[in-house]
Amino acid sequence: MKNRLEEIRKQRGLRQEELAEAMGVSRQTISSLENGRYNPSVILAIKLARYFEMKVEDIFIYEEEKDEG
Amino acid sequence: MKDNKFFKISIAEIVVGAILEILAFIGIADDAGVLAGMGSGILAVGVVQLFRAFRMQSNPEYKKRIETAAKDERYAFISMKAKEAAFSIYLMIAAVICIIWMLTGNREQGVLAGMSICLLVFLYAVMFRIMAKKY
Repeated sequence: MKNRLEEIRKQRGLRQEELAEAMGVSRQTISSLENGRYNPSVILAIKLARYFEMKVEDIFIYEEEKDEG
Repeated sequence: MKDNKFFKISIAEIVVGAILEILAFIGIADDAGVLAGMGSGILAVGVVQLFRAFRMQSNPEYKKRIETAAKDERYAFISMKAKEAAFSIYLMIAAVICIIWMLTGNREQGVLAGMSICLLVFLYAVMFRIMAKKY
């Protein structure tokens, strides 16, 4: 799942530490989310969306994997 | 309140570790080495926890970092994944050891290793049913 978290965070002039503190998670979690290594829980995704006053789907982009062959 | 809990737990661990060390030193058990090893382990964990508790008390930033880490969902996810991997690896190692022991004539140890595999698989099956009802 792709996301626009890094882009949105930078638009708002926030550091990873600040966003992490606001969400009650570690800075590494924000970093992993931005790198796409970790997908958030529904609760964290909603918290992030509420924090940025956006819809969840405006931050997180789910693309169904296409079968190859 | 929570800080007190950390102190109490670490002090309890140090006391238990020290008691085991003393018992091993007196030679109360047949195999004092095992007792001494356990005592050293518990004592070391207690000392580390106590040091951590003191650091948490004196350094609010460190305390905050530890508390955040404790409820961080990614850490919980990683911990769950690590346990899952450790479970699978343990099963494979125990199975190989069991076969080796059986083939080399160490039947008693082989049976023990086999039993530990059975116990783990049984616990997994029981926990799976409980979790399936819960979620």
